[in-house]
Amino acid sequence: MSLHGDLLEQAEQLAQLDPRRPKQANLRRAVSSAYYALFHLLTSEASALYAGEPGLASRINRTHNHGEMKKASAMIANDKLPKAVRPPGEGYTTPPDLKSVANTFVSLQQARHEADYDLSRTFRRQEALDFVESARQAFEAWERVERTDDARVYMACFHLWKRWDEDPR
Amino acid sequence: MKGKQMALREFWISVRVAARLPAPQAVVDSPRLDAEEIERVLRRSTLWLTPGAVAGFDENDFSFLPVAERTRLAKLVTEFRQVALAVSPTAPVPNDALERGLPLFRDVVLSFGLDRYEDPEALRLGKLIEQAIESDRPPELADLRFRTGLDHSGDPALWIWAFLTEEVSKNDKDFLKAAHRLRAILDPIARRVAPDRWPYLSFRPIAEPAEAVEAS
Repeated sequence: MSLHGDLLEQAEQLAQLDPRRPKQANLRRAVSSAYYALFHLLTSEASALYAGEPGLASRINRTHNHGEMKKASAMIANDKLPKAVRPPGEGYTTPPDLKSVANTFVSLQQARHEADYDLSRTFRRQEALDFVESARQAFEAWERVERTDDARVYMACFHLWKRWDEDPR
Repeated sequence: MKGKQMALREFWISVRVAARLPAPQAVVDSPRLDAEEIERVLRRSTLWLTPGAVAGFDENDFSFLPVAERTRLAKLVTEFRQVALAVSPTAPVPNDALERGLPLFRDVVLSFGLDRYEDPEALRLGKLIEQAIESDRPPELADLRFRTGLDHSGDPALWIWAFLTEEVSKNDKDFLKAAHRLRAILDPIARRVAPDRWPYLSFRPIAEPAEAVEAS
């Protein structure tokens, strides 16, 4: 199976461990794995936009940046496109499946950050399960939308949203 | 708007400091505060029985509350001030003043829902969101808690924890279905009420875990 598929499965298993008294470490790792599952799904697809050869694709894969991907995702989730690729004279509405993927990416990234670093709060088992389920639904939504232009523009935005959002010279 | 938020914050801090409630843990994990618990804390000391406990109150800062709730809060504060002003700051608090002031201040504290809204902006946004869903509140939604702040990358955010009823939390499948349904309701409302903040939604069962949650 793919890395992203394995990570999603791992997230689910960790969230289900010791249901009567789950360990915070397992719940936190479940949330973190759910995020990384979606992260790796999207970066592997985005890298494949540029290269079919696995070595080159994996080098491109490493150029992805969590912060930039979050900015791009927040923009797409809010029905916004960078200025340069915005259709002239009309608004943009993100297709619902793509919106769901972008939305989940932003939310899971924050949850991942809290799971890994914020010890001031606890995670509950069903709360962690819900984050894993969100990732699973994002996988399904991605499958439905991945071959569309909207999805390709979204992936290109991981690297280019800032450049594309600048005012034209 | 900024000025209003500052005034609301001043009042919030006055009440919080005067009530001397235990420092809050993350709002999502904080125990429920009821009238009895607040009264128990307030009876430990009478230092709160001073006009300073409600300093900064301005009814206009609470335009986000329904009229009846806002009027009630203003009445509580006015009556509490009258009782507090009659108390000498240098003499022991007379018993009758304590018994008149305590329920008033307790109800001011209760109206802030310090266990549900972590900060004044969370109170404002939380109340607006609750009003927006009130007419069509899903029965599986038991409680909501709110906090505002910056997320891990420094962007303004609104955290919403939705607590689901015991009934729907009995099995994971029902819980996840209900969470999915509620997310579709809460997310657009949160974006409309707080367009400049990213809404981070989490879902939890209302019931306490059967065994204590293991420390982080």
